[in-house]
Amino acid sequence: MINKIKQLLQKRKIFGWKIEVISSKSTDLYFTKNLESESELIGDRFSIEIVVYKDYGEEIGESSFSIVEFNEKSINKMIDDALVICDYSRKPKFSLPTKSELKSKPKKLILVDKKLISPLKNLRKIANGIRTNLKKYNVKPNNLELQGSYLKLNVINSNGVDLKEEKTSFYVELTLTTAKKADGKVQEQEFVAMKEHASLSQFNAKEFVKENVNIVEDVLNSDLINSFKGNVVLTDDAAADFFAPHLGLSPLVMHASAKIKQMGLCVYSPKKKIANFKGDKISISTNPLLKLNPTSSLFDGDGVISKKVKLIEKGIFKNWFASKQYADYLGITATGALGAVEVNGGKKSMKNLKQTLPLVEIVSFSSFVPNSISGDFSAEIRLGYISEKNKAGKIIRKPFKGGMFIGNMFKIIENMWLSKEIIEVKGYRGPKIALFKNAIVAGMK
Amino acid sequence: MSHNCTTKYINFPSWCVTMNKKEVLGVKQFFLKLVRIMTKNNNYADVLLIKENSLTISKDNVDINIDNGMDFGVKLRLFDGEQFHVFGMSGLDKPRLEKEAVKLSKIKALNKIRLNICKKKINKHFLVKGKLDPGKISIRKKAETVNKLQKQILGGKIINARVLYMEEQELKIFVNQYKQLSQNINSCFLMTLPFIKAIDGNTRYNYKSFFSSGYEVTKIPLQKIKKLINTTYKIAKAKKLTPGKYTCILSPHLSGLLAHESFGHGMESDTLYKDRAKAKEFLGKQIAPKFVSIIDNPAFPARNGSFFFDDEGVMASPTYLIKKGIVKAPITDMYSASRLCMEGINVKRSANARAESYDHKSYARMSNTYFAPGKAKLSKMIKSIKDGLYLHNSSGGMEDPKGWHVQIQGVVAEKIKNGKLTGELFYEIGMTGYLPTILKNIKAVSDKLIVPGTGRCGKGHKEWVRVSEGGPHLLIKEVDLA
Repeated sequence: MINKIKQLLQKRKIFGWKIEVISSKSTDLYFTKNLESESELIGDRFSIEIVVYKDYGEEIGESSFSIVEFNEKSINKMIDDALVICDYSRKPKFSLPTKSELKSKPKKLILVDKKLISPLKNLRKIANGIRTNLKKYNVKPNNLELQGSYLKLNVINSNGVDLKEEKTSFYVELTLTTAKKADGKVQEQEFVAMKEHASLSQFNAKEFVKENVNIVEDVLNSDLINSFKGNVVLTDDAAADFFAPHLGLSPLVMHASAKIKQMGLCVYSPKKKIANFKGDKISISTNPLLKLNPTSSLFDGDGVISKKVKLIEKGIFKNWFASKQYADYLGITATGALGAVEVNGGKKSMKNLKQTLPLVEIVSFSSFVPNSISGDFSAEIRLGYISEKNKAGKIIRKPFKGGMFIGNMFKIIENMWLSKEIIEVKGYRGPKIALFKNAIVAGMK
Repeated sequence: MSHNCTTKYINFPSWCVTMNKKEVLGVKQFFLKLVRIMTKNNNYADVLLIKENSLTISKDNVDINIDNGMDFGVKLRLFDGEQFHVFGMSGLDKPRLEKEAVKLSKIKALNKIRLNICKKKINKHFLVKGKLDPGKISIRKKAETVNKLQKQILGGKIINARVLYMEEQELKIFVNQYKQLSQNINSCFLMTLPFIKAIDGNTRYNYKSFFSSGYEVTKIPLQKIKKLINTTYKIAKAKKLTPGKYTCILSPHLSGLLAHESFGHGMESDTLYKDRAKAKEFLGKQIAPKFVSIIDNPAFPARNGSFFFDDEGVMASPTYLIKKGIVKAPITDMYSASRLCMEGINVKRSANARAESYDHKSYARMSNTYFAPGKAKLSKMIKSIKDGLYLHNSSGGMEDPKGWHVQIQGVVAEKIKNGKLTGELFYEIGMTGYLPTILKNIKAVSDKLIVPGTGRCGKGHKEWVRVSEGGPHLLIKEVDLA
């Protein structure tokens, strides 16, 4: 089918074309309360995106369309329509990746776990593992979702690029509820734990259950918090959310985009510091080549080979990340897929960073979604701890829930210290904790 | 510069044609055959086809893109009395679907859970179209309109502007033992996003989006564009708000988001059945003043979350989540509604089972969610405030059905002083609080209902479906803002 589409495109004497073939097989298991099985879903998805580029001298017209089934007559018509549409989508010319640019292809990048290619039995085993481990604890599982997927990608273009990639991913979401009696009433709290990996070997049911049982018990015993200004530490997932939010890009990364630069929205200048650092000077890279990280990728959607790119080094802006189009506009080299956000660790240990009291430690946000252009953020806290000395000088650490961590990313990093201990999760490799001085938590008491 | 001038103008490109009547009837007959195969062992079975064609034109200072998307596939579903077995695949590959139906037909019936199935027989096709059929407008005209609008926004201190136009044709065909339903829904969406340099040196943006079932969505009065630009200028000067409790008027967009994030998610039947929603304790109880009602209504005419039947073949009608302050009925999907009934909670099926796509699960999901209008006049509500805020719009929120904590972020607020809007704005505010307290603090509900929402809603961080939210203006005391 692909060869036939190639022939149809080659028949037209146009500036260029690209075919992106995506096929994925997914297996999803859903369990309702008490982990009763509710649904088993097998998905088989296939699509082809075709992009045509038409020459207009100093400009190029670009248009794309998708198909899921092959019909020669209809694809011919779609190509003709797309070429007409190019007349109305003209932009400054850029080049398409060429075969000769593929020399920098990384030798090996492991992104597949064979156990996830057809994972039904393995996912059922994981569900049983979670069930068994939960028996030790006085918590109620109210929801479990396990998803395994196997993705195959092929990018082909008119310049001889023909790249293939296979990836697997595993997603687990477990909701735990716990209860206590207070003032004659039963009080319940829940915590939704989520993890995504590229391999089942990265998941340990026993540790996952234990860690999240501890969290939900703390959520149950949490109180509201007064407004607070001072030392705030983000730990593990909260630190990962801060530097690599689950929806969209961190403003710190977004402003290193060649597209944002070209759009005139960028606040960074090459070789200039991005903030007036009083603490650790941040170093950020994008790294699409991390082994078994679900965000890793050998190449981007245009067929440009991926590489690690140093965006910010010791607080100084270094490089843009760029698609082929925007790389050509800025006269730089295209950088390929974005991958995980990699942040360098600091010099101090976690223990050291947590020493100054009073201290607010945030371990989970409801949803950390900063404004990726302005850098402003306000995120509700699902679980945090406040540590302070009581009158007897003893350190008391109490859990809290609610309240909002507020600020501006470009401002708050001026007073930031990073741990030397590193974690790696989906889309993030960096300090396990980040300490912010003079940070604000708006309380609800 | 060379210019290959073309004389060919196309209206709807070839990929935007979904299916004609004859093809739809043929698919229904084929699906009926699949249902018969799958119900051999007396299991429940249904088949759903989803075909979405879209055309997107996006333009900013640097780039213009005209793209189309297609999502097309079929889902086979069988319930064995204990759980669903589902198979979803791209396209309409009849031999493969028949083979998979035969595989599913071998599953034995367990009869542990009795599904709540509507047995009324309906065989019908539904169609929604706007005043101006986008299929009759050439792509050149559409591109020109987007270009013109972008240029109207640019200029002065606006450093860039993005305009996004999107039209979508959605075809759904649902067949089970009782229903043979099909619907064709057309929708058009326009978003404007001007960027400006702010007083703090950072870049900020404003946005305004519009929705309609037809191409009339692009007919934006110049006055509205001027207002958008004017507000963007004010956003550039906007300060950060001092965290605290404020008396607020919520715009229809914000009141809708409050209804959606804070209450709607907690009234989804799967969340209730899993004991994940505090609302379960409040069913039949007073939670808000008597003048407060919240409705989810997929049958609301021509909105972003409107449809005729859901992904389990239930016909659309409104559901009162709160009626006169009392927590009433959840929005449902088949499985969890049946389980709730087995627990003795009598739940009526509503048309809210929705899936992101053919290879995703159908859950209870919202559609168009809004506060019902009240009797107060907006002008009087503003006049009654000595010192407070008018909350314009926001970038989104997150649900917490168990804790009933509220998170809405990216709010733009305008100061109200001595009963008058001052024009002074505050940018990127977060709204939080405990939902029952917020509902109790509602002091007035305005008389005009607007359902402007154009977004997508996720279940947690995934499973995105089109929704709309809105309502009248709400006056609420002691809102936590930061």
